[in-house]
Amino acid sequence: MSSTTGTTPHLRRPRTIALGILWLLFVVGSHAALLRHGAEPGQLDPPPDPWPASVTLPRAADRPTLLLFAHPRCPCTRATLAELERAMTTCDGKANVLVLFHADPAIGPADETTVLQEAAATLPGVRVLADPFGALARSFAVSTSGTALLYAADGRLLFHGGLTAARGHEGDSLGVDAIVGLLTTGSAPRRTAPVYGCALRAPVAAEAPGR
Amino acid sequence: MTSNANPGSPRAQQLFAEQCDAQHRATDRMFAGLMLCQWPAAILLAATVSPRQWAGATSSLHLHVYLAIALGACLTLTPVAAALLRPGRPGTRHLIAVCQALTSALLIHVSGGRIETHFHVFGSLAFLSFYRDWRVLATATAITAADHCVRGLVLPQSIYGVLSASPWRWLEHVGWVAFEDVFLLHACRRGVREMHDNAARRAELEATRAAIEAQVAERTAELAVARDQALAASRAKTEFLANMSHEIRTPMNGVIGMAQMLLETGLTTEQREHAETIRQSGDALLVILNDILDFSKVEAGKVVLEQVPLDLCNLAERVVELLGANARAKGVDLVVRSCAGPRHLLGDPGRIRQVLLNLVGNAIKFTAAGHVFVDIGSAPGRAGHAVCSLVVEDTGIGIPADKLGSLFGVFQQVDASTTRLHGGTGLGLAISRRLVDLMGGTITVQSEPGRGSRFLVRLELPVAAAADDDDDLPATAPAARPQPPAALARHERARVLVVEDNPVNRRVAERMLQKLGCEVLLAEHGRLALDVLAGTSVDLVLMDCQMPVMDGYTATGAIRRREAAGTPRVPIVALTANAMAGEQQRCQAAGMDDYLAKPVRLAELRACVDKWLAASPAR
Repeated sequence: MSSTTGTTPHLRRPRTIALGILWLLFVVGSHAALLRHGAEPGQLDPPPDPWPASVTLPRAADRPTLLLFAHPRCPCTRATLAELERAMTTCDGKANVLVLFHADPAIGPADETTVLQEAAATLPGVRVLADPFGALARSFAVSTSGTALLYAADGRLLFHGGLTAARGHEGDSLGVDAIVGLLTTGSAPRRTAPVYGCALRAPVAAEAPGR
Repeated sequence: MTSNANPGSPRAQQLFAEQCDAQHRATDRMFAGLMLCQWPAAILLAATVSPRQWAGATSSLHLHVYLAIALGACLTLTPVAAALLRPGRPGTRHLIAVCQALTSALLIHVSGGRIETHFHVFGSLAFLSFYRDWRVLATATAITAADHCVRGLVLPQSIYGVLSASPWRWLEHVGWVAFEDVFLLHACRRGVREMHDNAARRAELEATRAAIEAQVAERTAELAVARDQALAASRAKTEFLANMSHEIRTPMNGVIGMAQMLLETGLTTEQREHAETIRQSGDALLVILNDILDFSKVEAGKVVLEQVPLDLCNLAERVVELLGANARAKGVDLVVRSCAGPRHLLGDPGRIRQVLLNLVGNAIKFTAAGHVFVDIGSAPGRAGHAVCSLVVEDTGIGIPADKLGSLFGVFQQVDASTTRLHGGTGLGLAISRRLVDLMGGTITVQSEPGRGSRFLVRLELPVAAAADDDDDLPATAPAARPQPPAALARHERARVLVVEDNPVNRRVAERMLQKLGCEVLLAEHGRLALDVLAGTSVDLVLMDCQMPVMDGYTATGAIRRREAAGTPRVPIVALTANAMAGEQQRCQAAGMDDYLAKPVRLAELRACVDKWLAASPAR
C-alpha cells in the first residue's frame, strides 16, 4: 500500500531518472562545448600578395620573412609560440622571424611585458615588435592572434594561417608542417591553415570574441 | 602462515560483507574529500592557463573558466552528495568513477592537453582500486576509453598532440590504462582475498570465544553448584560441631561437676585419687574439645576480634598466675621476666590471652626442668600504634630445625611420640598462628634441641588514651577475674532458680549452688520456670538453652516481657552446652545477661553468682 504522505519510491524513480538524464545531458553538452570551442578556428582573411609596399616593416632580402601576429594576452597564442619555437628549431636561421604584438593602452600599459612577450623574446632568431593599435595587422588583413604570414625574399606570399591544430593545444599542425617544408625544401602541400586564437580587434558587428 | 578458518561460513560471509561495506564507505568519504579539492584546482588551473578570451582591447571570462566552475560543480557535487547520502552503494562508487574519469578529461582539456595532466587518469584509477571492486575500475576505464575515442575523432590534437592520429590510437591509450588496470585488479583481488581471510579468522575467533564463554559459563555453573555443596557441607559441619559440642558437654558437665562435688566430700586417699583422675580426664577432654571448636571457628572465619582497652603486662601476669600451679608441680620456674612499653593498648584481650596461654602451656609441657620466662616488650609503630612483642622462652626439649617450618601447621607435632608423651591435639599452635594473623601480627620460633625454644609474637596495637586507674583495664574475660572473699557471705541468703532439663546437670548445679550457700529452686524446662517465677521471687536464674516444652531463649523472652509489665528485673545467666560461635550473642539477643559454658566449674559459677548477686536489685 502506498503512502499518501511524502515521496513514494515509485514517484522518486522517474524523478531520479529525469535528473540523471539532465545531468548526463549537461555533462555531455559541456564536454561537447569544450571540444567545439577548441576546434573552432578564428577569422582568416587573404593577406596582401605581394608584400605591401606601403608597409615600412623591414623585410629580409636574402631569405623569407615570417610574420606572426599575436595578442599579448591571448591564452591560445601560448601554444602558437611553442609551435613557432619547434619550427624555428628545425629551420634555424632560414627565415627572418618577426613577432608583432598588438599594442593598445586599453589592453595594458605600454611598458608592461606580458608572459607571451617574454616567451617570444626568448625564442632564438626571433625579433619581437609592437604593433601599435594593430596598424600592421590591418595592413596585412590579419584579424586573429596566432596568424602567421610567410613571405619570400622577393615579397611573394608563401603561406598564411595558424601554427596550431586546435585552440590552445600544442602538437603537430598543418601550418608548422607547411612553413617547415617551405623553408627547408621550398615546397609544401598547402599554403594555408586554420588559425586558432583571440581576435585582434573587437568585433564590428555580431563577431564573437575569439572568432 | 595458513589459516584453517572456513571462509564459507555464514558468519564469515557476513563479516566479509561488513568489511566490504566499511571499505566502500571509507573510500566514498575519501573521494568526497578529493573531489572537493579537485574542483577548485580545476578552476584555478583554468583561471591560470586561460583566464580570459580577448577581442582587441575587450575581454570576457574564458569559456574554460566557466566550464571549470559549472561542469566542475556537476562532476563534484553530484558524487559528493551521493557519497554522503548513499555511502557504500554500488551506484555511488560507479558515479564517482564516472565523474572522476570525466574530471580527468576536463583537467586535460583546460590544461591545454598537457601530457602531465594525463597522470590524473592513472592516479584516479589507483585511487579507485581502494574500492577493491573490479567493476568500478571497468567503469572508469570505459569512460576514459570513450573520451579518448570521441576526442580522437573530433579533436585529436587535444589529446594526442598530433594532427593526424590513427582512428584507433585511442586503443593504444586505453591499452596503457588497461595495463595499469591489470596490476590494480591483481591488487584488488589480493585485497579481497585478505578480507575474506580476515573475516574467516574473525568468525573463527568469535566462534572460539563463544565456545570458551559457554565453557566458562558451564564451569561457573558447576563451580556454583560445588560452592553451594561446599557451603552446605560447611553448614552441616558447623551444625555437627555444635551438636557434638552440646552432646559432649552435657555429660561432661555431669562428669566434671560430680567429680568436683565428690572431691569436696570425705574420701579415702585412694577414692580421692580416682575422683581426681576422673576430673583431670574430663578437663583434658574439654581442652581437646575447645581446641577443635576454636580451630573450627578460625577456619570458618567466624572469629570477631574485640577492640577494647587492655594491659599486656597485667594479662601476662594473670596467665602466669593461672599456669603457675602446673609449673610448680613440674619444678619449673615460671615468671614474667620483663615488661615494658605502654600499659594502655587496644586489642582483644581474650584472644591474646588464648595465644599466651597456649605458648606458656606448651612451654611448661615440654620443659622438664629449668624455667619458662615471659617477656613483654614494645617499640614505636605507626602513628598512634605500638609494636608489642610477647616472648615465651623455655629450657625445654627444643624443636629440630627440620620441624620448625611445619610447626604452626594443623595437627602438627614434632613427632607422633609427642602426642603419646605429652598429649594435645596439635591444634594449639595452628590456632595461635591464625589468631595472630587475624590480629595482623606475626609469630616466629627459634629453637635448639636439648636447650629450649623461644616463641616471639609481634602485634601492632593501637595505643589507648591513658586511664587514671590501671585496674580498670580488663586483662582477661570478666568471668575469670578473682572474686572478693566478701562475696561469699552474700550467697547464703541468695535464691537461685536453676532451669535445666538434664537431671544430672540439674543435680550438679544444685549441689554447686548449695555449696556456695545458695537456696536453690529447680525447674525442668522454661514453662515450669515461668510458673516458679510467677509465685516466687528469685535473685538469679541459671537458664539452660535447649530444653523440651519451652527452651531457654523463649522462656527468657517471656520473663523479660513480664518484667516490662512491672515485675522486678531478675538477672538471667545462660547455662549452655552449646559453645559454638554466636551462641553468646544469641543469648544476649534473647535477653540473657551472661553466659556460662558447660561444663561449669565451681570457681566460674562462684564468680558469676557473686557478680550478679552483687548487682541484683532484689538484694
